[in-house]
Amino acid sequence: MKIQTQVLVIGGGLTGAGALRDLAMRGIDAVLVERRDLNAGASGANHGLLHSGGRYAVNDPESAAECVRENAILKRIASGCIEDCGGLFIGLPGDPDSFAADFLASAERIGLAATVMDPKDALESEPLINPHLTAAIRVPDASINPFMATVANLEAAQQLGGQVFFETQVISMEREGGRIVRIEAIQQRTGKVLEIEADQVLSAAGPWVDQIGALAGVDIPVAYSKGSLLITNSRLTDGVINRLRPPSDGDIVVPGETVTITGTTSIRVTNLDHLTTSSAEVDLLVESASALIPRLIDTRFIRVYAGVRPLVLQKDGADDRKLKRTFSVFDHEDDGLGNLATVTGGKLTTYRLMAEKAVDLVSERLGVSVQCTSAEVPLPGSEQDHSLDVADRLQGLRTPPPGGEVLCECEMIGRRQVETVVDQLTLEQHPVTPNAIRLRSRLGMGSCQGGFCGFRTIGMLYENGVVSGRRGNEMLIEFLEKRWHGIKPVLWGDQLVQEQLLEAIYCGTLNIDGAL
Amino acid sequence: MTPMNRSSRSYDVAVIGCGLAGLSAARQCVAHGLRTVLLAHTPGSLPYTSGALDLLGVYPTETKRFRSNPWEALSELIDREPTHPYARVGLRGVRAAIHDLEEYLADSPLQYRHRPNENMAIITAAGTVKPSYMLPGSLASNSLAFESRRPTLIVAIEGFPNFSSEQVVDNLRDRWPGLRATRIDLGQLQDKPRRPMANQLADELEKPDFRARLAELLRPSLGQAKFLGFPAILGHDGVAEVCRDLSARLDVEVFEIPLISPSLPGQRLQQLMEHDLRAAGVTWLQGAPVTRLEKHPDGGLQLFRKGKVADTIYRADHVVLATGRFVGGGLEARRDAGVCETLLGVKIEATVSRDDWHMSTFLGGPGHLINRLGLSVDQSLRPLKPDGHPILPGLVAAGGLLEGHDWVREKSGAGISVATGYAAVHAIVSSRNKGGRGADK
Repeated sequence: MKIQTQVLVIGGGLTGAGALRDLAMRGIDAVLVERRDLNAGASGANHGLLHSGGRYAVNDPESAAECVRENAILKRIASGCIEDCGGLFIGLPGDPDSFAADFLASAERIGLAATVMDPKDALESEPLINPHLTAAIRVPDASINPFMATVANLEAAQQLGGQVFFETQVISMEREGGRIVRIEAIQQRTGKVLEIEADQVLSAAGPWVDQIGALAGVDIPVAYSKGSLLITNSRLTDGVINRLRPPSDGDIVVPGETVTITGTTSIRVTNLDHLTTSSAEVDLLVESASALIPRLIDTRFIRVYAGVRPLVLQKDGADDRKLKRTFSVFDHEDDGLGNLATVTGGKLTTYRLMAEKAVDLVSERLGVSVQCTSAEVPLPGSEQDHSLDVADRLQGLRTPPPGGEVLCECEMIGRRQVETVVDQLTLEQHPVTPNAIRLRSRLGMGSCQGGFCGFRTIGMLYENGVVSGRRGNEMLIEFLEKRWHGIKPVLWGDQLVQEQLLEAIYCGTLNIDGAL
Repeated sequence: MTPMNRSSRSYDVAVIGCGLAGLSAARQCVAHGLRTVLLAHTPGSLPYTSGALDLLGVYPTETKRFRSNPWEALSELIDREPTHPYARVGLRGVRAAIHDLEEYLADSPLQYRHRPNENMAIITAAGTVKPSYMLPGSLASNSLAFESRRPTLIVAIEGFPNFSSEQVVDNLRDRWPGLRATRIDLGQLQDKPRRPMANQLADELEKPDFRARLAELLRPSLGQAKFLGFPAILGHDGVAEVCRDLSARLDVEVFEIPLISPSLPGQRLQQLMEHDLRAAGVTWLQGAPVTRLEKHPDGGLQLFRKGKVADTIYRADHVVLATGRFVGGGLEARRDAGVCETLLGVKIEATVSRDDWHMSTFLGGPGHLINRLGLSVDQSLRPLKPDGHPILPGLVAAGGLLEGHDWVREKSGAGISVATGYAAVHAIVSSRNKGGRGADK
C-alpha cells in the first residue's frame, strides 16, 4: 500500500496523538504510525498526574513553569479526561526545613498557586495521610486518564482527516541528499508493508526516538530511566499527595478514578522492551509511599508497571532526577536532514506544548503559517465543563438505555460500552483484542486484572461473531499472560488470594492450562 | 483476650473448616460414632469448584501429561513424591477413602457417577475439555455427550455474561461436528424479567411450569440434537429432577457445563454434605473464625471461637485442621514474612523467596512454587515443628493446606481433600483405640 502525506508522525503516545491533532487543526495532511497500540510507552506507564508544577518548583523551575501553564490549559481543553482533585505537598519529620521556603519562593516566581495549610486542616481534608506531618502546601495538581486523553486527541485528528495505523512499525527510511524520501512500515498482523512518502517526518517515539533516528542515520543522545509504579485496589485519597522534599523514590501518591497509584523509582536501563520490577523495588515503593499514607504498608496492591522516561542527555553521570525534565525538539539540521524533526523528553503534563513546538517547526518547513489553536479548542468529550468521575459510569449503567450486563465488576464497565469500543476498533481495522479494549475502556484494570472480565469479554466477542474458532481462547490466554507480568511482583496477601482463585478456575475448573 | 463465657463445650473431635477436607473428616467422625463439632468461618471452597471431583488427571505436571487411569498415575506419584499428601495417606488409604465417597454420593440426590479405573472428560464453559473422576449426574451426561460426539445443542441465556454457547462450540467444532449453539431469552418466560443471575435462574428452573415453558421455547431449535447442554444453573438440590424432566419433555439428554465461579454444582455438594452431617448429629458452627488453638489444661485441646462480645471455648480430644490454602484462609502469604499457617502461626519453612513464588508465566508449566508450600505433616497427618515433633498432641491436618502437592495442575484437589480428611480421622481413631486422648500422649 502506498501512502502520500504531508507529515508522517511516528509514535502513538500522547505526544504523537497531540501532534497529529495539532497538524490536523492547522489543515496539514498527516498520518500517524504506531508500532504497538496507543500509549505503549511512557504515556501508558505513569502516575496519571497532571502536575501543578510543584514537583519541579525548586530543582527545575523552567519545567515547573511549563507545568503551571499547561495544567491550566488542559483543565480547560481536556476536562473530560481530568479529575481536578487538587494536591498536597506534605513535609514529614526529618525532611529539610528549608525546602518549604524554597518551594514557596519558587512558586511565587513561576506563578504556581501554592497555599500553605495548617497540618491539622490538611489531615482533616485527607484523613489517611501521615498524621505526623509538619507542613502542608496545597497546589492545583490533578489526576488525568492518559488513555482517554490519547483517544480524544486521535479522535479529534481523525475528524479532521488525520489517519492512524496501529501495530505498524517503521522499518526503514530512505535518504536522498538532505531528505527522507521514502519510509517503509510493516503492519504486524498482516505483514503488509506501507510505503510512505511524506514531506516531513515527525518522530514522537518517546524513548525509542534514538532507534527511529538510527533508521534515518542520525544520532540522538537519550538515556532511559525506568520508573516503577504500584496500583492499589481502592482509592485512598481525594487528591494527589506529594512529599515536600527534593524528588526521590516513591514520594507521589495519585488517585486515579477507583484506584491509587504510587511511585516511582528511577533506575537506568538499557533494554526498553523487557522492563521488570523486582520484589526489592516493590518493597522500596511500598515502604516509601507508606511514609506519606501509612495505610499503604498493608493495603492491597493489584499491579506494578514500569515505564521509561526518555531523558535527553546534557552531561554524563548526572543523577537522572536532576536532569532537566523539559523537552527537546531536534531539527536535525546539523545532521544534514531538512525534513525530520524529533520531539522527546518532557512529561505527560506538557504533551500539548511539546506537540505545539514540534508542529511549529514542521509547519514552518512546510511553509504553513496557520497558528496553533490546540490550547483553545476543547477535545472531543471535553466540550462541556464536565469532569472525569467514576460515578458517571455507574449512572451510565443504570440510566436507559441500559448499558447491558456488567462485564467488568471492578471498574463497572457494561457490555454496551465494550461493544461501542469493539465497533470503533472494527471500523478502524484495528485488531480487536482484550488488550485493545482495555486501553480504551479501563476493562481489566481493577482488582481481578482481567481474570473475570477477560473471560466474559471473550464470550461476548464469540457471541457477536468478532472472533471464531480457537482464536478467542488464545486471545484470552495472551491477555492473562500479559496482565500476569504486572501482577506477579505484587502477589502477597489478598491479591495472592485473588490470583489463587483465578488459577483454581482457569486450571482447576476449565483446564485451560492443558486442555485435552 | 480472656473469654467471659467459660461455658466449655466438649467434643471428641473438632473439625475446623467446611471445605471438602473438613466435610470428609466430619463424615468419618460420624461413621466412627465420634461426638463432633465442625467450625467454619467462610462457606468453604466448594462453591468455587465445579462439582466434578478430581482424583489425579495430570501427572507428571512438568509434562502436562493427561492420565486416563488415575490409579496408575497415583501409584507413580506415591513412589516418586514421598511428601505428597497422597503418599502420606498411601494407596490403600486413598482407595478406601475414595470408595467410601463413591458409595455415599452415588446414592445421593446428586447421583454421582464414576468409572473404576478411568478418568472421564467433560466440556467446560471455555469450550475446553477437562478430565475428572467422579461426576454428578448432570456432568456425567456432559461426559457422555462429549464421548459420543452425537448431535448436541448448547444453550446460552441472553444477558447471562458467564457463558457463551458460541465460545463452547467454536472451540470444539473441529472434533465435534454435530455441535451447535443457540441463545434464548428467558425474560419472556418470567413474570418479572430481571438481569439473569445463576441462583435466581436455578430457582426458576426448579418450578415445573417454568420448565414446561422453557421446553416449548427450545423445541423449535432442537433439530437432530440428542443432547442439550446448559450452563450449570439447572436448579439447586433438585437438579436431577430438572434434568430428568427437561430431558423427558424434549426427548434429549440434558446436561450441564461448569462455569467460572460461583458454581452451583459445587454449592449443591456443599449443601448436601452439610445437610447430611447436621442430620447425623454434627454440631455445625459457621460464620466466625477460630482464633486460637492450644492445649486444654485438663487434657485434650481447646479452641477459641470468636464471638461478638467474648470468645467461646470448645474442648476436643482431637482437632482436624482443614482450613484450606490461601483462598480458604488456612495459609497466608506476607510481603515481608513469607508463607504462614494462620491459626497456629506456623511459619512454613521454605527457602523460596518472594521473587520465586511464581513462574514468569501464569498458566505455563510446571506450576508455581508457592502452590507446593504448605503444612508439614507425618504419616499420621500430624503437623510437625521444624524439629520433627508434632506441634500439638491430638492435632491432625487435612486438605489443601498440606505441603507437597499442586492440585490445580495435577487436577487432584478433591481427591487430596477426601483422602486426607478420611485418613486424618482414621489416625485419630487408631490413636483412641490405643488409649491416646490427645494431651496424654
